Amino acid sequence: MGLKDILVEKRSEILNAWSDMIMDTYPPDAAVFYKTEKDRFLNPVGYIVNEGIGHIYDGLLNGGSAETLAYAIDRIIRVMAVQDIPPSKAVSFVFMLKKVLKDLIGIDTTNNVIIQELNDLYDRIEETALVAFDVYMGCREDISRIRMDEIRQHGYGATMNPHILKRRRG
Amino acid sequence: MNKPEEIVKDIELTPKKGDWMTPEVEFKKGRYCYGAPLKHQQYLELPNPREWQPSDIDWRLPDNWQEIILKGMADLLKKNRSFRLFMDICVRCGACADKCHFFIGSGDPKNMPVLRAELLRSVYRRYFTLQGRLLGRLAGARDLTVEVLKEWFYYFYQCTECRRCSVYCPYGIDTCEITMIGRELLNLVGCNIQWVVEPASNCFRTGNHLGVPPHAFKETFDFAIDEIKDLTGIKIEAPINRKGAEILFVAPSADYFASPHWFTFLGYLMLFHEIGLDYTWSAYASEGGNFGLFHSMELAKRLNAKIYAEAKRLKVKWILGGECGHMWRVIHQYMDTFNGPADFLEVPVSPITGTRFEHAKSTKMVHITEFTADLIYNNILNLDKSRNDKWRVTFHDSCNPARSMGLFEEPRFIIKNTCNHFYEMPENTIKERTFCCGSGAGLGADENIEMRLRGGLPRANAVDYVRKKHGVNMLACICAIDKAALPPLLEYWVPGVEVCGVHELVGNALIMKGEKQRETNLRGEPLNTEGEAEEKE
Ligand code: SF4
Ligand code: SF4
Repeated sequence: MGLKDILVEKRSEILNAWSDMIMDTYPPDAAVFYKTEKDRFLNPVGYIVNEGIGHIYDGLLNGGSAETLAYAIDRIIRVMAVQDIPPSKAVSFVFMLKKVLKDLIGIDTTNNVIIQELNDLYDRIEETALVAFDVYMGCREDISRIRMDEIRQHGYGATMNPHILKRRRG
Repeated sequence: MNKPEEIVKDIELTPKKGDWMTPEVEFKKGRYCYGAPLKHQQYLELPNPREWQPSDIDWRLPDNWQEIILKGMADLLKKNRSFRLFMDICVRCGACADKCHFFIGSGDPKNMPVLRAELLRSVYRRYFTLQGRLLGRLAGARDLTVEVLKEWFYYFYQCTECRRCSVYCPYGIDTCEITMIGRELLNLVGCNIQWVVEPASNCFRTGNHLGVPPHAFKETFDFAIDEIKDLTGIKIEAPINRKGAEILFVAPSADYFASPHWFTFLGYLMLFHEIGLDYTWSAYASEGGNFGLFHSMELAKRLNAKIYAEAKRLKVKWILGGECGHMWRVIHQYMDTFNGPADFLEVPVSPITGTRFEHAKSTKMVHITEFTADLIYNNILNLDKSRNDKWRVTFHDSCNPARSMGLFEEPRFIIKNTCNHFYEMPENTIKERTFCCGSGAGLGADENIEMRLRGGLPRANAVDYVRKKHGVNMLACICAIDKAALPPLLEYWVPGVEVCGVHELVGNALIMKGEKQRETNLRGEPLNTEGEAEEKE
């Protein structure tokens, strides 16, 4: 069995472990909730993370489109960027996949082909983490832009109507 | 060079241990609201006035601050039976724990309603129950320290008083009311926020949160009249302070001052003109909203008083109210006790349809969507739905009209009669289970943006779903805070969805007698854009 076959076979086991590891970075009460509530509307964080890591996993495996990969990373990082999670910790969710793989796939260390494939996969995971870092910075920029727009048009959170703005600018 | 994974190896990934009894807060930028400026504290004659920020190490509290708070608590326990009940009867069953949008979005356990309440309850136990006095921490009791006070401030200003949690509590405990009491106590020692105190102080001075004086109020109406003339060719009238009118109309000030509220304002004016309503605006009751509610009952009452006072002065028969959220909580639940009975007014009867609004026989105040839905139901209005074809609409139940009034069907009835494309969000995110915008109860400050984006995630997530499934591009709502808070929220989470009021949709669809061929919608965007909405069918 090649690496890809192993990864396809163990897909759900790996994704579950990866997801649990991400959720365990939250305080215990939140971790339990994020792991167990399965309704996507009642638990958006759990849903977004699980959906996202699924896309990322498949993308890494099959070389999925850059667009889908970027979308999945954006969805997850967008949540973390407002959650009091510093960038280093936010992007670490990508590296966790390496740890999970090391723990779970139990490969034959004498099989050079598989080891080479695995190293290639690790490289792709690292590239993904770098993308995640850029996405994080992009989200933080979005937040400051949104805030600046509010300050410019201040009126108790309300964007002023066009007439008033015109009059204010003179 | 270290590999990235080695760099992140040292990062602490497991959360710090520590139990909830140890108060611990850090005021980080983006996650708290600024303190109230001195001049507004003084204007409202609030206690312990000073320039102050929550991030200051020394909050400059009065020397006897503990005594003040404990006395305040004793007074409130005596005055509000519900407060004592809420303190005593929680069995910590956890049913409310995962119902708060701030917990769902942030994962911070102290945003679980049960723990939010416990912050106050622990102090109640320590000073007002025997077990707490004797057993202290063992009985879940805590001393009232500065750290505890800071924690109160942090978490009571992370509750939008939305009442979602209360829907799920088997005992009917309303954590929103606990937050209100918590804020009330904080106010006794001068801890409050700019975003609540400044509009309240403006309101006290000019009658509205934005501080609009009567001449600017009038001028804004003139703009609106011109704009409606351009759109429809009809010169409407918008009576202000007209004595002897049948109805007084009160709307949140954002409606005539902010965007996208402005288009709802145009919608009201067009509708009232079309049905020939005998009504008036008031330049003093020029605010339906009431930021006093987010400060203390006393201030809410002071600000609310002008509505009945103006109704009396202008000698109207009853009052009609615009699209606002918390305004309706005050009207529906408190106004009668605050400033009633309004026995100088009559039970509201629609002069157009003859419908008697029995449910408002005590307050004498009717919600605009009830009024308009009744007009539509009686076939009074001539509506062209296709003028809203550009929009694929969903409806956000604003917390207060939904959970404090049970106003679910009227706005939906109006939308379905003014739009061809309407799609509901999932059942467990609407009506009494609606998710808050994350910016209510005075938390909509720009400096609090991160907290707002966290709290708004569950709402935005449901919008994202209907956007992807049905191509929804318009979120309608009936709350002025929503109209201000949802656009930035959606810009971050679901770009491409705009926000409108229900009466903007009415204004678009309304065929007015003698109007010219409409070329644009109220936003000035060309009509006849069928293609845009049809694509997704
Ligand atoms: S649902 Fe009610 S009784 Fe249960 S923990 Fe929450 S407040 Fe307490
Ligand atoms: S009232 Fe709303 S914001 Fe406050 S604790 Fe309950 S659910 Fe959370």
